[in-house]
Amino acid sequence: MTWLFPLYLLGAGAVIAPILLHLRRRPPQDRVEFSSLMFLDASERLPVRNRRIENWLLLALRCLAILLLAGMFARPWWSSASAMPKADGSRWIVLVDSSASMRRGDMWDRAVAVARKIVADAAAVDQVAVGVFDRSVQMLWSFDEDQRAVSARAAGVSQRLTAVKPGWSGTKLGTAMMEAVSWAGARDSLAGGGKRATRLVVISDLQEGASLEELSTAVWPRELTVEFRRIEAPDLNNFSVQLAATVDENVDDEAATKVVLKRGDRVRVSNARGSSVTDLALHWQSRPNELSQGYLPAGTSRVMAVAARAETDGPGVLVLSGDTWDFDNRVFVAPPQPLNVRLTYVGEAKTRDEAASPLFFLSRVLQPTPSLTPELIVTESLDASSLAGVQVAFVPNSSAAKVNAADVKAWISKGGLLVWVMDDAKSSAAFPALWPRGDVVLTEAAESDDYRLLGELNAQHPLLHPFDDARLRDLTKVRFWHHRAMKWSDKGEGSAPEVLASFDNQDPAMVAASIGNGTLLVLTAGWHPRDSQLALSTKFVPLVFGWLEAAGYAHQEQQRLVVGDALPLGKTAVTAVVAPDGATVVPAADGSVVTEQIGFYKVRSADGAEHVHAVNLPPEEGRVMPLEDARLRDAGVPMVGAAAQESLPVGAEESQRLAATEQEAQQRVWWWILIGLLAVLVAETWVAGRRTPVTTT
Amino acid sequence: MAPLLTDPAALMRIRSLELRAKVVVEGMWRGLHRSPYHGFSVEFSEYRSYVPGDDPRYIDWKVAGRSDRYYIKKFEDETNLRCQLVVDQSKSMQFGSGGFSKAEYAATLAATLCSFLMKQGDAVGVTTFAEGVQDHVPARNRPGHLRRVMMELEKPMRGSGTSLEMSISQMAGLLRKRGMICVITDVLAPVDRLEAQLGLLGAVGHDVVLFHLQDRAEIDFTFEKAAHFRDAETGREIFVDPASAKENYLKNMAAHQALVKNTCERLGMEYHWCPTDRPLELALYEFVSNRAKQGVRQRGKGAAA
Repeated sequence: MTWLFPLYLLGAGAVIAPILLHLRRRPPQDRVEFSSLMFLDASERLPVRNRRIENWLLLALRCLAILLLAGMFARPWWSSASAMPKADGSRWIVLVDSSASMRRGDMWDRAVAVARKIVADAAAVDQVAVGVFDRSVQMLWSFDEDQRAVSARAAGVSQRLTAVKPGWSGTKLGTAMMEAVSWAGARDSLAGGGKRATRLVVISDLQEGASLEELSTAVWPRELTVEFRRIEAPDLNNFSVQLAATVDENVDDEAATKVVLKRGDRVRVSNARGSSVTDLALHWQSRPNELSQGYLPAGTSRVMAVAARAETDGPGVLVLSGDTWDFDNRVFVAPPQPLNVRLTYVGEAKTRDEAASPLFFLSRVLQPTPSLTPELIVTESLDASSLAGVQVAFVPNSSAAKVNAADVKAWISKGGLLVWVMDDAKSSAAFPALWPRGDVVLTEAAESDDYRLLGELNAQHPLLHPFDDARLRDLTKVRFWHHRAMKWSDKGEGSAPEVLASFDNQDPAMVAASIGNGTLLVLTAGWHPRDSQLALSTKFVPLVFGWLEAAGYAHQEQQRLVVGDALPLGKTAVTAVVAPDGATVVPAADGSVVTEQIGFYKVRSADGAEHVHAVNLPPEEGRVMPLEDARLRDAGVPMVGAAAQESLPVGAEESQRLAATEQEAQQRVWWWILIGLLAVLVAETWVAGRRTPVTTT
Repeated sequence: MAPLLTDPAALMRIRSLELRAKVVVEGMWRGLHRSPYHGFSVEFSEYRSYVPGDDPRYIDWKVAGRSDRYYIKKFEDETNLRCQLVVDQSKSMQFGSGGFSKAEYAATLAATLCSFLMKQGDAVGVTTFAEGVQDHVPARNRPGHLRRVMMELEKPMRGSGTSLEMSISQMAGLLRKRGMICVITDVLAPVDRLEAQLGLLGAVGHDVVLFHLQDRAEIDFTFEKAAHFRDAETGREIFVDPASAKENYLKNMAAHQALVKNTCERLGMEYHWCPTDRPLELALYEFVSNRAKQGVRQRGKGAAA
C-alpha cells in the first residue's frame, strides 16, 4: 500500500493527545452532596508518577479514530503492476526550441543542458529522437540512429546540440510538434508491433508569440503524452519593434503617401506585459545622436515616428534601446528600389506632345512609381539594335514599314511583349510575318453613325488582369468611333490567337497571340481620340500597367520580408545572392532563396543591377510573455502536468504521480476508511456513555 | 397469600401523602386477610395465683370451685394504643438516589403507620425533629385527626443537623402518657449518647420502635468518580476517591448499623432496618407481625396492669 499524500501521515502524531489526556487525570472538580461524611475518610490525590491509564478501551478507540483520520487524508492506494507505467521501451522525442527568442541570455545553453540530461537519463531500452525547431524542425538524432548506436547516444546528441545555435526564425510550435508526432508514427508503422508509450518533451521558452494553429486540428495518438519544459527568462523587460502598416492601403491622399511610404519612418513599438521598463529610444544606426524617445507602459504598443531619412541614405537600420533583450530591437529598412522597364514606341518623337497622337497619352501614362520606373524610348525603326534591353514594344500599324519582322519575332520569342496598334487598315509586310496564323485580313470597319462598345472581355487573361477586379470592369463609358475588322484563318503552325475583347458587333478588339515565350497583342482600335475614348478614360492606366505586369514588371508594394520568407527574385536571372553575414547563398533547386537571417540580402542580377531586400525578425517572436498552459490544453495537447521548470527532474516522476492519483481515485480506499472512522466514533460514544457515573439527587 | 408489593419509586410518584398511605395500607389489609393477628380485642390473657391485695372481683370462681385454689383471671389491656410517630427531618434525610429522598420515604412510612393504626382505633400523633423538636401533634383518635397528621407530615423540611438525643429528651417531657413511640430516622449521629436517651424513653415505659432508613447509595456506596463529597448537614467537604474509600466506608457503615441494632436489642426496643428501595408494605408487615408477637408478651403485662 502506498500513500498519495504521505505528509498527512504526520497527523497520526496527534495520537499522543488522547494518551496525554487519559494520563492527565485532572483532579475532579465535581461536587457530590452526600447525607453524612461520618463513615468516609478523605482520599489522597494521586501523585503524578502513579498516574495510570484507565479506560484502555476508550483510549484505544480514540487513538484508532485519529490514526484512521490521518490515514484517510493521506489517501492510500494499492499499486497494481498493470497500472504502473511501463519501465522499458518508452520512446522519447526531445524537441529543443532554437527560435530567435532563445538568444536571450543563457537560455539556449540551459535548454541544451536540459535536453542532454533527458537523453542521458533515458534507459538503454528506450528509444530517443532529438530535434531542434523554430519555424520548422530539424532532426538531430533519429530513432534509426538511436537504434544503431545506443551506447553513443548521449555523446552523439550532445555533440550535435553543441553545433546548433538559435537562429532568427519565429516559433511554429504546432508545426514542430506535429512533425515530431509523425516521427513516432512512422516508427510505429515500421515496427509493426504494439505501439510504445511515447513522450514528447518540448524544451522551449514557450513564448506567447509561438504559433499553435496546427494543433487545433491535430489528432493525437493515444500512447503519446507531451511534456513541456519551460526555460524561464531572467526577466521580461522586452520592447519589440516592427515597421508600421504602410498607409498606401488605407490612405489615398497623395501627400500622405509621400510622407509615410517614402520615408518608412513609422514603427510600431510594443512592450511586453510583464516588463518593468517603460522608457525607450529609437534611432537610425547611422545617426546615433538623433534619438526619438518615448514612454511605453508594460503590455501596450504604439506607433512612433522616427527621424526622417533621405531616400538617398541607402539601407537603414532602426535601433531600439531601453530593454534587456536586443534580439528583436532592430528594424531593417531597404530603400525604395524601383525596377527599370524599358519600353519602346515606333514613331516620331515629336508627336510626344501632340494631343492627337497615341504617343502623347502613352508617355503620360508611364509615370514612375516606388517600385517601377518605366522608360519610354521612341524609335524610328524597330530592329535588333533598338530592341536591346527592351521589355515592351508598341508598334502603330502606320509605322509597320519600319519594323524588321525577323528581329522582332526573335525578340518576342525570347519573352518580349509587342503591342501592335491598328491605327489604320493598311496592309504591311511585317504584321503578317509576325502573325502566327496565315491569311490575316484587315479591313476598315464599316462607317456608321453609332459608336462601338466593348462587348466581351476576358478578364481572366494575364494581359487584362487589372479588370479582374469588378470595380474596374465597367467599360461602358469607353466608346470606340473607329476600329478595324480583322479576320484570320486557322491555318499555320503557331498557337491559335485568342480574342481577349470584342466589340458589341462581335469584331475582335484585342487579340493575343503567343510567339515563343513572348506575346503579340493586337489592338484593332487605337487609344488616341481619333479612334476611341480609351486613352481619356480611367481604364487606360490599369490597362497599360496590366501589360507591364504581364511582362513581369508588376507595380507592387515593396514586399516586407521576415526570416523564413523566400526572396522575391522576379524573372531576372540571378547571378548571386549575398546574405547579411556576407556569405553567398546558393539558391535551392527550384531557384528560390529562403531567408535565414535578419539584415539586408543583396541580389545581383545578370544585368549587373543589385537589389537589396530587408529581412526582419517575425513580429510574433518579440512577444516573449510566457504562454499559458491553458492555451496548450485548449489546443488539445495531451499534456502531462503543468509546463515544468527546467530544474525539475525528468517527467517520469510526474507521470507516476498522475498515475497514482488516477489509481487512488478509482480505488477510493479513503471512503472505506471514513466509514471505519465513523464506526469507531460511534463505538467510542457508546463506550464513553456507558462509563458515565451514577447521578444522584 | 403474599402481599402485593408496590415499588417505592412508583409509590413516591403519587403526590398526595394520604393517598400513598392508603395504597400501602389497603395492600396490607389484603395481604393480612385471615391473619391470626387480626385485631386486639378484649380477651382472656392468662391466670395467675391470687395474692392478698388483689381485687377479689377478678377471682375465677369456676376454677376455684374445681380446684379449690384462687386464680386471678387476667384480660388483655382494653386501652387503645397511643402511638407517637417521631420523624427525622434533618438535612441528611434529603439525600436519595432512587428518584426520591429518604425524607419522602419517611413521611410516607409515617403516613402509612398513622393510617393503619387509626383504622384500628388507636390514637396516633406525630412529632418532627431535626436539631430539636420542631412540631408536635399529640396522639388522638378523632375524626379529622388523620388529616392533621398528614398535613404535618407534608410540611416542608426546615431542619439542618440531627440531634437525636436532644430531641428525645425534649420528647420525654412532652409525652406524659405511656405509649408506643415510632422513631423514623437515618440515625446519622453518634450512637453512644443516643443509647442513654432511648434508654430513658424505655424507662418511662414507652414502647420504642426504631425505623432505620438507609438509601441504596449509602448502603452500597455506588459512586465511581472521585469528587468532593459535601456533608448535607454540616456543609463540610472532603475529597473522596470511591475506589479507595469504598471499602472503609462499607466497613464503618456496617459497624454503625450493627451498633444501632445491638443498642436497640439491649434496650428492648424494636428495630426495623428500612432500605428506601424496599417496598413499604414489607416494612409495615414486619412491624405488624412484630407487634403481634410482642402483643402476646404484653397481654400478661397489660393484665397485670
